[in-house]
Amino acid sequence: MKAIPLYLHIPFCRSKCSYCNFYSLPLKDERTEKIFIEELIRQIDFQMNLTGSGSLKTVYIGGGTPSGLSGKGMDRLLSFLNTKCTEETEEFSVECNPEDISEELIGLFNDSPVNRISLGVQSFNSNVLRESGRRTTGEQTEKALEIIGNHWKGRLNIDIITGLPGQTSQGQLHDMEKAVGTGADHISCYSLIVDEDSAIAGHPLLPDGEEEDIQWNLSRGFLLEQGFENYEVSNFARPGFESRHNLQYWRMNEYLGCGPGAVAMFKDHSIGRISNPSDLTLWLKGERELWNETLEEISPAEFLFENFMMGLRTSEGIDRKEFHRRFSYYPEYLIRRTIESSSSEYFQIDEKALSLNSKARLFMNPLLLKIRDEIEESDFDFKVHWP
Amino acid sequence: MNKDQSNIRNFCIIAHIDHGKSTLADRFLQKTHVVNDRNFQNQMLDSMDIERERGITIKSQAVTIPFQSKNGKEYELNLVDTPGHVDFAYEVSRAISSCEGALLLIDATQGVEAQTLSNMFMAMEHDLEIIPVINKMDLPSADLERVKHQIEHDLGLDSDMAFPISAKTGLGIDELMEGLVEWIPAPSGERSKPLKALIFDSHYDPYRGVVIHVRMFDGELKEGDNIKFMSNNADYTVEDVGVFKITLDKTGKLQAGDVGYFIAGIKNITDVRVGDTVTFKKNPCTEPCEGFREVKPVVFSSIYPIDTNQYQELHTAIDKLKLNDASLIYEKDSSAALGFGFRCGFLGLLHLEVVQARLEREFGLNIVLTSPSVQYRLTNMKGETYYLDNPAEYPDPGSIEKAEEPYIKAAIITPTEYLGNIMTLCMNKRGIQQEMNYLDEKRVEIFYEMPLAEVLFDFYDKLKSISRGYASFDYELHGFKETSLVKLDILLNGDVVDALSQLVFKDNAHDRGKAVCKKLKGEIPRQQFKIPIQAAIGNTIVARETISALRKDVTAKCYGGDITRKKKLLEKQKEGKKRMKMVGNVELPQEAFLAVLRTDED
Ligand SMILES: Nc1nc2c(ncn2[C@@H]2O[C@H](COP(=O)(O)OP(=O)(O)O)[C@@H](O)[C@H]2O)c(=O)[nH]1
Ligand code: SF4
Ligand SMILES: [Mg+2]
Repeated sequence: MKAIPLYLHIPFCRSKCSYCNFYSLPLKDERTEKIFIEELIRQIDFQMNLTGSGSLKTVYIGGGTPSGLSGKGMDRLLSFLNTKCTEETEEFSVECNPEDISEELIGLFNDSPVNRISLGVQSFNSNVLRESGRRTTGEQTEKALEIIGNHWKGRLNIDIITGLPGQTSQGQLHDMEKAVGTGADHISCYSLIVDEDSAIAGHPLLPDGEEEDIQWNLSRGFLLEQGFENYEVSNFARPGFESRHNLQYWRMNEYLGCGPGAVAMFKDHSIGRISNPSDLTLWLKGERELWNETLEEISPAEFLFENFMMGLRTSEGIDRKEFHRRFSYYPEYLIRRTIESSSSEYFQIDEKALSLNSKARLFMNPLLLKIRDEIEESDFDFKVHWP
Repeated sequence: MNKDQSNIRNFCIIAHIDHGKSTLADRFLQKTHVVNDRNFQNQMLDSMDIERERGITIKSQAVTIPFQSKNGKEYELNLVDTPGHVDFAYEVSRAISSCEGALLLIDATQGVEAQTLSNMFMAMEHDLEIIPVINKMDLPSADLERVKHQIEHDLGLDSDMAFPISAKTGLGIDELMEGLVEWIPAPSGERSKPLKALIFDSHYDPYRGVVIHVRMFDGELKEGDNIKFMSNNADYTVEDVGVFKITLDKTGKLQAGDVGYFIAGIKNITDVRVGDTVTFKKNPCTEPCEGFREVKPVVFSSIYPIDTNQYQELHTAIDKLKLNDASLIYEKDSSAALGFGFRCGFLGLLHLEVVQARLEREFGLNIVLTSPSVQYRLTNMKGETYYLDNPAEYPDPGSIEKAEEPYIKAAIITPTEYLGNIMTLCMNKRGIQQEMNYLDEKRVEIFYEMPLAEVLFDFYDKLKSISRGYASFDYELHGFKETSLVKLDILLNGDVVDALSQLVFKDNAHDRGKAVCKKLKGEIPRQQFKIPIQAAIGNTIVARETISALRKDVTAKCYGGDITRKKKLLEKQKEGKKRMKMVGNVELPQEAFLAVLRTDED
């Protein structure tokens, strides 16, 4: 039986950050948490059965704030997942917020299959954090990193957001220096996305597009200098430390997704993305019918486009053989007009892969629009072999 | 069967905008069951989507309402709805002159405002019986005594005659209708005289051609009659005659005093002029109805398709719009930056926006409009005068002896506390104060002569904002005055974009140039290269800004659960691109063209 990637969504946070557009709720009492976790476990079993998966290839517990679960809850969840992990399990990440990091929590992780912590730092600057509505302070973050440094045996990712309110290019660079200084092997560096309905919209201290651009590019330059590779649009890793779990998404492999608000992609009757409703009450009722609800059936042409959209994000690019197995054509053939009409250095093709060069990866949107048009205009008769 | 003329009442509702004209019309329609409740929609007479949306009546509408009075008689009430915006002031005057009476509607919470006064004067000029009606009495802030005082004092009307009502709840409507038949005189025309009818509006019906809206003053009009228009002697045969009951209701005949429609095989709406008189071809009436004049556009702008392949579609669409809108004028135009398009004339900025919205919504076109301009009067060295509205055609300044620009006479009513700010605003807009009347100790009425170019764009918004919405404003055109003009060019990437050029008052040119560059910087999205923006007068650069190069797309996270969102985002970008015009190698958003006028100079 195959091993499959699993994403878990834990939708609880101590407070709501003002830029947040995730499904996140205030922390719950222990009883609710317990029901929540039991339901989660039931859904994991259910989805594994449905897809005929014997074990987990990678695990990513995200949120919300998984680190905010009670010790008991976390222990129960990890013990269960432990039974689904094998030698084949390549990576097991848990998202943590600095204020939750304690020696106990790290101890718990050390004694479990967890081998990667993803720490939501975003910035080391208390001012910036406060303006963004984050609970943590710079000091708390430093403290958490100290505990991690002293006790944690696994890998470490740090999340940084550029363009937060009150951030400056100087401050951004400073944040990056600190992030690298922690010894993290992986750094995710995202542009802040200002959702029109989020609390942060219209914040007077928000850097404008030009300033954010500078902050992100400074960060990128610094990370490259420090030996990180920009292996995906907004992800940086020391060679060999790429996120195995996230690579599954960009390779458009199947994955399970459990918890309210989580998305899974696998083939049931057709290829589809299954989203759990972002609704805790429904979740706690344990209405199984909802689990099966395919909210988005992906047509062959859409699936094809998504393979380009996701695959071109990474430096490894689209695996040509695998692509050919899926679509019976090589990728460069299906988008030849786009390739021909773009700067010659943008697309790189070799035996193994079709990829974008590092500059083109930063300006992907116009290329994706062209690819989309090209796919829409040609009517290939796609037969998709997936997974 | 002949109707009894003494049981007809022709009336209109006049009011400052938002005082409740459309709502009151709705109540009349509902009370008298002209439409059944199932088909009833709010703002019934505003038939265009855009009218409903913006709450502004754009076209005159008429409707015949049967009314059973307590006095035992059955009346036929003809309500002529008038447009609610100064752009359409002439249409208002025509609608008014087809009535014997007017309900002067005043919002009980706002009191008398600028359009209340100007509309009342217009109604008085046409000798209408005016009945003051105080609306919105259901609101707690309604102040009956204050409004009554204003009616006596500002309007010089008898406040005892006023009807307090609520158009919303229906309060006082029955009393008002009784008062209406009692106070408004029956029409006085003579059926035995030769035909004399006033055209107060027209519309195009795709199946029947042009439908003409008329008020009958003398004589009768029947199917088969040979008629002519007095302004141009064009003659036609009447095919269909009737009255308005929301839809056209064929009656075969209209008589002196009636309001109704006729159809006479007219294909082209430009052949029909609002304000014209209809009479018989043989045996015409001796005098036309008073006050006919050609409506002239006052704002000009060119319309271009974003996709140059859509020129033909744009042409067809404008032709179609024109069928229903005689006041829209256009001719072919071309621009180095934008390709082929049309130079259009509009009655005002609202009219322009309505045309733009209809082209986009009803015809699905993506278009750009160039900076709107007023029409200047130039005199060359040989003493010849000519009119110019297109900056692209602005001649060598050395060849101009004299330049004049159109002025308006503006009337503003404001609470005294905002007077200072308003006077400053008007002064900054080059206004010349004419008179000032204290209406009472708290409110003033001031008149200004101001260049039309200055009030077109953001004057109204500014007036509203500095007076917290309390000042009201109305204007009429008021001839030309000498001015000093320059052409302000805008350069993108070093090239003049002809579509962004504007003619401006010389002393404002530098400031305007700066403001435009700044505004454009905010409107034009960053692209993969740096874009210098410059403003120039002749060869002199008077302002500059630079849009820095874009160095990445947004680098958001994109994992499994983000795919759907990411695709939506791309879809949105694609839509956005459709609203961008490539000018050279720069992508200009549609908004940039009009935005250059909405510059905040303060
Ligand atoms: N409370 C209240 N609101 C009213 C009344 N009459 C009109 N309105 C509201 O006032 C606004 C303007 O009315 P409308 O009929 O569109 O005004 P118009 O611009 O004169 O046609 C709308 O929001 C109406 O609902 C009334 O008698 N009472
Ligand atoms: S911690 Fe993350 S999920 Fe929770 S509120 Fe902040 S941004 Fe949202
Ligand atoms: Mg209205």
